[in-house]
Amino acid sequence: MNISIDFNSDLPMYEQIKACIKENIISGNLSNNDALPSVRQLAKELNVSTITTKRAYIDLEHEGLVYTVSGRGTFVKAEDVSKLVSEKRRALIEEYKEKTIEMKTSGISKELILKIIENIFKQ
Amino acid sequence: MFGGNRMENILEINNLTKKFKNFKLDNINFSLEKGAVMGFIGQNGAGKTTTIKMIMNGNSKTSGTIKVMGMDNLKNEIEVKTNIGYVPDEDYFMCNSNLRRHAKVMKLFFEDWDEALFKSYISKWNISLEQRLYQFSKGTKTKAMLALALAHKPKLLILDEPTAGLDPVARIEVLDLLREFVADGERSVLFSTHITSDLDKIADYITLIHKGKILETLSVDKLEEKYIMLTGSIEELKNLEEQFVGIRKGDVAFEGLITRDRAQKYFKGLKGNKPNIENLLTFTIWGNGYEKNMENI
Amino acid sequence: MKRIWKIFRFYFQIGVGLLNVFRIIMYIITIFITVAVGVVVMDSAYNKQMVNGMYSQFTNIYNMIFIISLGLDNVKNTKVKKYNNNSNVLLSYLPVSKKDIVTTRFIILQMILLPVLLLEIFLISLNMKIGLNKDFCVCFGITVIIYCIYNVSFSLSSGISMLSSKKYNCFIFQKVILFITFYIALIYNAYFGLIFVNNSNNIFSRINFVTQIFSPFSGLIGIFTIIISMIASYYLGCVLPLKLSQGDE
Repeated sequence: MNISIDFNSDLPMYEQIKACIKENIISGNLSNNDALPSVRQLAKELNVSTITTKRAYIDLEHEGLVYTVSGRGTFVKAEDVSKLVSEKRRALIEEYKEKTIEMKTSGISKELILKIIENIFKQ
Repeated sequence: MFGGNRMENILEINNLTKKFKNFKLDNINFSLEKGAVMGFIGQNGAGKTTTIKMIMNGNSKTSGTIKVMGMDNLKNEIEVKTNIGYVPDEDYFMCNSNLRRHAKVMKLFFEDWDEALFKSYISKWNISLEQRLYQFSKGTKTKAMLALALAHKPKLLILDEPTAGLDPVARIEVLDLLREFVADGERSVLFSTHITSDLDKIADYITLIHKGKILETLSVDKLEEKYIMLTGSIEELKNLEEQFVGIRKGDVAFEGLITRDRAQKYFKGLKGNKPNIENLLTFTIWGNGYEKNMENI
Repeated sequence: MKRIWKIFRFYFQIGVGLLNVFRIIMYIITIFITVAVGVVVMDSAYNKQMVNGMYSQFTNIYNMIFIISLGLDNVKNTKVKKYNNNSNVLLSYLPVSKKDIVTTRFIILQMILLPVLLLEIFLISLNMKIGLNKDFCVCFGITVIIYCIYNVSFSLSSGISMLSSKKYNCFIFQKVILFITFYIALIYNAYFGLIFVNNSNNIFSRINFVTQIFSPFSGLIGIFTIIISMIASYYLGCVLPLKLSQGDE
């Protein structure tokens, strides 16, 4: 599992951990029934409080992405990754929309933007 | 944290008040559950050490109760102190003596004294048992007191500015040690400091005290969830200073701590950052009255 | 009882070096001196003759006590050079009750003064049974008074130190008392030395009438005074500090 924390992000730490875990599930690093590090282990490695990691796991459990077996730990529940994937795509599209508006207001022409997109898809 | 099962709280302070000539501890309320590390922050002279000394019954209180593991700290003074490991800001050593004798004396009063555990800390930190204690540096004295405190297996560890005299290597070692200490979920740490960067790594809860009053007490995830740090130009501030918990303004730019919902409402476009404990401490204390020329923001 | 014994051991184990050896030696010397004085006085009383140098032995007893109490470094608060030698701070963080601490200190005090107490009881009963030399009664009466002052002032200092821990180096108070009594003892050593050697007109024979005040204390009144001083000492050292520190709350 890859966890990379962006210390400049304005998101709370537990949100970032959640996002990282979701990324790992989408990318296939974490599959269904994989074990996540213990709350304490993760807190130690990231140098954060266990409250933070516990909160991340609890929120993920509410969202149905992980399940906890008492005494054994927390495990991934990801039979259907598609929901996550579409959520991520929606977020990217929103971001893209905002960026495009920014580009438009700064004077970049529609033709240039479309050309960039075409070049990317040609590769 | 409040209102939980009473026995889950290792430390409970209710309506604690103490009047001094020039100072007053005013209605202190907070509690610490099992298995947690609480950072107790505030400026110098805010009342951190006074509150802690009252837990240890060094100063008598004007009103209020302090309960450790459900026991009143006055009525069951001996049993309460048996369960507390205390590392004060100023050392309690008889400086003419040495650590070996202090350990011997601690063993007299604490039944759960673990000599092997004590020796392991002493050898790990290279502390001399025979040397006279007045020759120790502040950092070594702190480590010695920590070893003595841990060796009698307390349930609550109370540390008053423990990292102040420690070199960076020792600081990290102590923080790791504290993490281990609470790992079993039965023991807790109350950690008073103004070096907030240490707390960012390890604290589960934060209690902020200022001029004898508790301004804020919350868990770290709530801190990050509730608040955000904003920076921007003075124009972007739009004269809405009073929306902030605390703000630092210059001629050109500002930075401030604000609740996330207000940030969303009033300052949608502004760049933000998640708040750390230092931000909580400084901006809550500064409030809206802080004006400073910031040339280099 | 077990708790008091623990605090006892605390005071004696925390010091390092030859401190404990020093204390024991001093204590043994005090015992020797008191026994010697007792024997000598008894001898002289039965043989109706004064022994030279006897009076000066009284001053030595108090010198011994002075030295022992200085050696009781950890029972009081001291600041040696730049660092603390403060047992009260350490004790306040340990799981002990204040009551046990003051009781232990009181017991230690009485133990230090025990040889002198026994000597005085012995001599008072000797005086009541046989009757001792007039001048000797004065000298002895003074020592009874000094004993009572020591007892009460030690306890008072102990009580003050319990109440204010770091703030007051209360044993300055104690050192002053010790110094005064030491000085008084020296003077009377000289006084009685002169009277014994030279029964003529000197400065001390003029104030003879003042010193007669102390004479009764070598008798029954002395016993009462001792008992009262022990009660006062207990009250000042054990009862009052606890009342005051609880009244604070």
